[in-house]
Amino acid sequence: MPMVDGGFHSSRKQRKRDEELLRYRLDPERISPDVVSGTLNDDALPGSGHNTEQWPDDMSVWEMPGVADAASTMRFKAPDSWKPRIVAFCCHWCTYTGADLAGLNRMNYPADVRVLRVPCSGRINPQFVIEALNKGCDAVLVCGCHPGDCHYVSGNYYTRRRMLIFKRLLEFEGLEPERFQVRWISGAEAGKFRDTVTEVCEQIRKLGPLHKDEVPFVPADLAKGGDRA
Amino acid sequence: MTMAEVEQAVRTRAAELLESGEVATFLGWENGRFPHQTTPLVASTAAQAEKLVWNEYCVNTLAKYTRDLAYRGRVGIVVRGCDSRGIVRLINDKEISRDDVYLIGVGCPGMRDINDAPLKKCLECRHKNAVLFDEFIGEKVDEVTPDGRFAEVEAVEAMSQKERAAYFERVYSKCIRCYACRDVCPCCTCRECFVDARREDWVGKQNNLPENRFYGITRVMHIGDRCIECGECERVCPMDLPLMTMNRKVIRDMNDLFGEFESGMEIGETKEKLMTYETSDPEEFM
Repeated sequence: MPMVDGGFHSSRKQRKRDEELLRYRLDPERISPDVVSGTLNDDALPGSGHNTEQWPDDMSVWEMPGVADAASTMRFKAPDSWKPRIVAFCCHWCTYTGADLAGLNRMNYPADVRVLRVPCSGRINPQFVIEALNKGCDAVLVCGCHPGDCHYVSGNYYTRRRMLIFKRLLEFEGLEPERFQVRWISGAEAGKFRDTVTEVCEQIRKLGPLHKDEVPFVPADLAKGGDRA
Repeated sequence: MTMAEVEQAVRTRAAELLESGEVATFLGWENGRFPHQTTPLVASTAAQAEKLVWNEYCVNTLAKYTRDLAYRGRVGIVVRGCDSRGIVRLINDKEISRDDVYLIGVGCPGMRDINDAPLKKCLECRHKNAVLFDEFIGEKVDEVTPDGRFAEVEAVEAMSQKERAAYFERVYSKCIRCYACRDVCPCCTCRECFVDARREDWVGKQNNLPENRFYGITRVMHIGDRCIECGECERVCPMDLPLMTMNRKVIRDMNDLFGEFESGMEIGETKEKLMTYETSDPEEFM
């Protein structure tokens, strides 16, 4: 999200792009009226005729009444072609084998989950999860062996402690609980893998994209025509 | 003993230690440029030790400076509760050894800032007396454990998910990535901090919302169970961000899930929560 009040990128071109992005994000034609809290009205947009005399000169756009609350709380209506992007960190010995078995048994499940194989769920650094969410994923799944069955004996015990704390921290910071989930799926539980993936994809489809500009926004001076997927 | 008497005793003792060569440097505070302000002092001679002060304006927690001074020899240091817990933290993290420091313990009545307002971290302080010391000057201060340790955490949790998202979005939009919180924290002692990597590995150098959020959450997770609640991060933040709220959230969750634990209280503590496990830990993920 660019710093709309200038700061680092205060070139004129960047400022114009920032204003364009802001108009795109707050365009009433594009978004659904499902506003949960906070109010959005045209008065909040810069240069909209609102009486700005009492606003200090260095006030950033995000401090103007209504804008920050509304932008965070609006439900953006994703286009019908939108599909969730979910990353699943799967441990090699259990979950990945379980997923493999689901494939062998020709089980049907949504293709929105991308599997990343790690040797053990204890390998999962919380930074992987934040990186995934920042770089465009709508949800992250961490799956490993059942506690007590870890191939490396104790890896998933550490995972359990770490993820208990981390999940609570992410939810504290405002992430929806469905967007970060941890499951124990063993190598024989192909059905559980299929059910987990189906359930999570359905939840995220209902929640919508994490990144509100899911239809990628390309500033006019860079647009070559067509979506940048 | 009044604070002025403790000050005099500290000066005498520091001069003695420096003269006899028992310590190579002595770490304390001296008067700052303005009234009601102090600044850290590293004294290497008995004459410099005369500049030491001990008053209500000694706001800096000095523990982390020992890391930089230990190469010169033993470091003498005046420690209160927060400083001594910082020293224990550094010893447990193997940044310094117990023999690198000579600790003069004092009891702390709580510090004030330059406008004479009591510091927030001191109002929330749970250990006013040094928990580790080689000698103690003055009397121990009465420990009154303040209530509402997790009041801020509960206030944020009381908000709805969307309000919390907006709240932290504002927090991370304000962050300027000065890294003062990381520089001042006794837990943050990695030789190469994840934000200092020359190649943009994890977190970039950009000062925008996703990168700031990455930095904030990761720093809290890297501190993990080791936070000593000295409150320095919040004190030094130029944007007044609620950093202790996030650290306390993790502390409270660990206390609830894995048992009560206060970090930085004894050398060699082995109950650190994220470094150990129990097979009977709470299970939520089936």
